[in-house]
Amino acid sequence: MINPNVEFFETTLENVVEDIKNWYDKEKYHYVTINGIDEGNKLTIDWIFSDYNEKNKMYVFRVKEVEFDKTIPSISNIIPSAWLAEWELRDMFDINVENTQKGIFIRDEKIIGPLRKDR
Amino acid sequence: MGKRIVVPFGSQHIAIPEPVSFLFETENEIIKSVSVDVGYVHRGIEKAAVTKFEFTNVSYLLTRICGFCSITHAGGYHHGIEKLLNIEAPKRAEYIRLIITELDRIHSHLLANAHVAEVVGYENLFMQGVKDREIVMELLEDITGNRVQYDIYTIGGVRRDISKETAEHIKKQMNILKTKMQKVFDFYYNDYTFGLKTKNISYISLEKAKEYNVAGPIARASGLATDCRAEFDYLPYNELGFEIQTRTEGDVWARNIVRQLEVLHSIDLIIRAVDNLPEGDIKVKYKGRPKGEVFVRVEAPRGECFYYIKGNGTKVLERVRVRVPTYANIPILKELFVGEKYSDAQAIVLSFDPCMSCTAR
Repeated sequence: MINPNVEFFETTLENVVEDIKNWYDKEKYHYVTINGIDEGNKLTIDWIFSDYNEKNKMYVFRVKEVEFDKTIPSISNIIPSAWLAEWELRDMFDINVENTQKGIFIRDEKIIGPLRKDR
Repeated sequence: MGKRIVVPFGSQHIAIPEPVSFLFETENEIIKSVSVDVGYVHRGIEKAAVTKFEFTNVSYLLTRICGFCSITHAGGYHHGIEKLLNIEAPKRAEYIRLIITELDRIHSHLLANAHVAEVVGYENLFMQGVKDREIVMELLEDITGNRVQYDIYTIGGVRRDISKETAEHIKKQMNILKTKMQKVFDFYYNDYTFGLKTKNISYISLEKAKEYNVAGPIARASGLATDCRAEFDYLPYNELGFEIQTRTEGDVWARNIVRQLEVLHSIDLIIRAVDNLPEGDIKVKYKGRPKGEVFVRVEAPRGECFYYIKGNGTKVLERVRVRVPTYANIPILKELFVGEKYSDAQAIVLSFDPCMSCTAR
């Protein structure tokens, strides 16, 4: 059985970029992706990282209870490859993410935020 | 200063097997800027996995994200679900899973390398690669019953056992393939003209690979020793002496060499797994429904595949998130074109072995 060793850092939308900036070291940590989870009316957003040196280790920066009218800050200035996951987050949850455009995964204008439970 | 011309590459293009669109702005054959569109085959699979299917059936849906990586998606999902159900698959099942996963990696790498050979002008080598790949496809059919969608994984183990005769057959075929692969490796490594067309093309430095969090053979070709088989315990790779294969050149040539080295290493792993195949059951029973959340990393042929699964104690899952290796490599691929010749664009794209069905889901 797998045994992932996940370390959570709970933070807020205002602080998440600063927290990741202070913690992230590209020599040690590998950025995996950004994930959104609809908890019913509110969103949980995870910024997920792994460790190059420590087996089974993962790190998750978690912001809970995000309202759908909030703007999610972008981490592309710290991790340049994060833009794709940020654009996807916008398409899938119809939530505003800093410096993103709509339409990279869903071009159909009738389908808006398909991973939201109220859609 | 020449006139800038915009050249569309895709969405349907003769050199790339799947739909992806690049718009190259070129000046005197040199690419100056790129825009990319990767969503042509978005099928809403993550949505379907949490609305239309029970957790016992979600695997069939996820394995159909992509033909090449079907076993990886089955692995990512089942290792996660088994953790949530708190069950452990028998050792024999883990070894059978490993054998199929490595066979899948071999045939995927053979086709990827064959495609690169084809676009740099070696059509015979492409034919040879596809012919050799048939050995693996037939073995997969012998073991699982299918050539592409194996569906060998099931919750708690595997569906089919490997008989003694099949085990002997696997070993015999792997030894035949090893001889052939050694010859192909020598060609890729030593051929002057192949080197001329692939060396120093689309160079990624180790620093750049780390900065862009590159995954899979692309990262390993730049000297970044990252591989989920070594970084995450999901199958018994450490018992079979797994080693990460790396090069430092970071170009199209090195990516082919890394994939070829991995083919040779996978053959060794399969032979060792068959030799050490434990006795016992291939499946355990389970009770209950998945509750809680789990983070899983598995190594697809193209690199790290990440799964997040959240269950709420009902038959239908709360969230399934899939992040595939090509998705991780698209940002560096986009940057890489700038400054390269338009005529090298095909080889650059194919050296990444992109899987758009996985990326768009």
